Amino acid sequence: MAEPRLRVFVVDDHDLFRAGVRAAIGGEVDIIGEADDVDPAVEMIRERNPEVVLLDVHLPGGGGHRVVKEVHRTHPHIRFLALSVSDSPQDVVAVLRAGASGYLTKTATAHQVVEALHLVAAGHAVFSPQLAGFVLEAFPAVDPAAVDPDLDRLTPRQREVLRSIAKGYTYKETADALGVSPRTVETHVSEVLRKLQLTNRNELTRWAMDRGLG
Amino acid sequence: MSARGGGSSPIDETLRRVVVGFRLVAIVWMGALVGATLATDPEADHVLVGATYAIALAWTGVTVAHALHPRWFHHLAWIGLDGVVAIWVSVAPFVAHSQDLFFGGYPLSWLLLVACFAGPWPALVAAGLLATGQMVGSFGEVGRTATQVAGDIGGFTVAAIAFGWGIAALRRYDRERTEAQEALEEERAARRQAHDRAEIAAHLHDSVLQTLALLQQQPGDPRQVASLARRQERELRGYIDQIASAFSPSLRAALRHAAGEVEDLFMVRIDTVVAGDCAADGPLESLVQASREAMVNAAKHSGVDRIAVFAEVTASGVTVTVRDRGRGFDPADPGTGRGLAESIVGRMGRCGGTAEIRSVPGEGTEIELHLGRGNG
Repeated sequence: MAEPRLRVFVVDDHDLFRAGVRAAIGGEVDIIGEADDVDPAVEMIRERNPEVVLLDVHLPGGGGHRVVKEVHRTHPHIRFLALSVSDSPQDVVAVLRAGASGYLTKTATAHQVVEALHLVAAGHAVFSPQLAGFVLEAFPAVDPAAVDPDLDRLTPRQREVLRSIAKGYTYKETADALGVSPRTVETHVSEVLRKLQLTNRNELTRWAMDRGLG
Repeated sequence: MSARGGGSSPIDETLRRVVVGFRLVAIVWMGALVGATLATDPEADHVLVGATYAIALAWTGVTVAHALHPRWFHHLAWIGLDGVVAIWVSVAPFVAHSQDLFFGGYPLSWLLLVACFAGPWPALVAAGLLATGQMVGSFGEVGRTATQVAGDIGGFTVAAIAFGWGIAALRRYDRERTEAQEALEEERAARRQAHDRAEIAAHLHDSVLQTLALLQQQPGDPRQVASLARRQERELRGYIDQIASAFSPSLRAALRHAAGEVEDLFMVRIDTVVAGDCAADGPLESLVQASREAMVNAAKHSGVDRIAVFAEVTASGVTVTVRDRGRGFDPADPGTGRGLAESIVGRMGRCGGTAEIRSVPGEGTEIELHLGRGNG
């Protein structure tokens, strides 16, 4: 207990859900503030400077991605973990492209959420199976010869890693199956997240535009 | 009434065709008259007649070529240049001392161009220019009576009025029709939206609100509450999947539906991840069936209550993986594999796909189904 507890800020427009989160993880992390919409969230996060923000992707004032963008403009060190019931890839990918470090569905257990918060705080990317599926969909597998050579796309190894995570395997199991270290798997996942955040051309742009993301 | 900025509406395209078509008819008509003049009129300046026809023919060629990339028909410079050729053609018979007015329909084809792309008043001005040419030209002519000249002038004027106002009316009619059609489409879209909204509202009322009412009646039974909530969530997700999917039936919705049925039947939890989507018809129906069988197998035999399903749709095929962390079995033991062999491997084989089963006793089972796309 000597170690200071992780300072977490919760952004969700549903009171009930915030109360649920407090009850579920409040014992293991410090919830230093809550907000229910984009503008108050940005203001309070800047003021309270949490380590990690647990963020709903759907907010009345413009979606979770706006919170990430606004906060990162002044406080780039604050990390974001997206949490949502949303099954829509566009919302989730929008938050990740804005700079969130991971995504969990609201069906995740309290233990999984706490674990993910710590991982994100330590600078790792957190890919739930659902997110791995979204990313595989966002970067379609195309014949590499047929595409723009400087297009940042997933390597076959990265796709393999994502497939394994999408199937519900942990990083460790994925590492064992691929014969690499869990650290390598993490590197792959972080690299995929980086690509997602940097890629704004061709395939991904078209994919996003098809889904009204622009 | 005035020249329009180079838009390319369907009516413009039609008018362009009419103008070019009329120009072609006019040049053929003029060709016949020029031929007759050359053959029967020794007084006429044959070189000038021939040169005039060559100019008209060349300009007609330019007109046809331009019609393929029609940007300049609206342009005042183009209309003017076309007019210079037409006015020259219309006065050439006088200059060449020809007995016959061999220009045929050529000047009219300019009037039509002006009427189509500049409007009725400019067409009237053009007719005035042509008429002036006829009057000036006929001063030196002895053979032509005032009535004949007046007839030519009248002909141009009547043509300008007929072309000009006829085409203006056509454009107005076309505009009104387009506007009416747009209004109709807007109204239809609005009605469709209202219908969709009503349908979604009705669906939510019948499903979610009913379930919430049920939940309020039995808050004391957590198992029942969880089961109801879970079933409602599944139903709602299925509904959203199908609404959101461009495919009907959607593979994503079909797989989720199958997973939901198995969850209900065996009280297990199936985490389903689907990357991509496509229509679940034909052989893909068998793939969904085989996937369901694999889920049933995992639910029945694995001994665990959590199953993971992952499906990936790519351009080349669809792969579905059904995985559990249950007790597993020895794939080499013929006794345990029989059910799988028939219900899954056999089914996939019949629809042209493959099934791969990996299992380790004590660690779990993974069944991977694959079906290529595009080759049946």
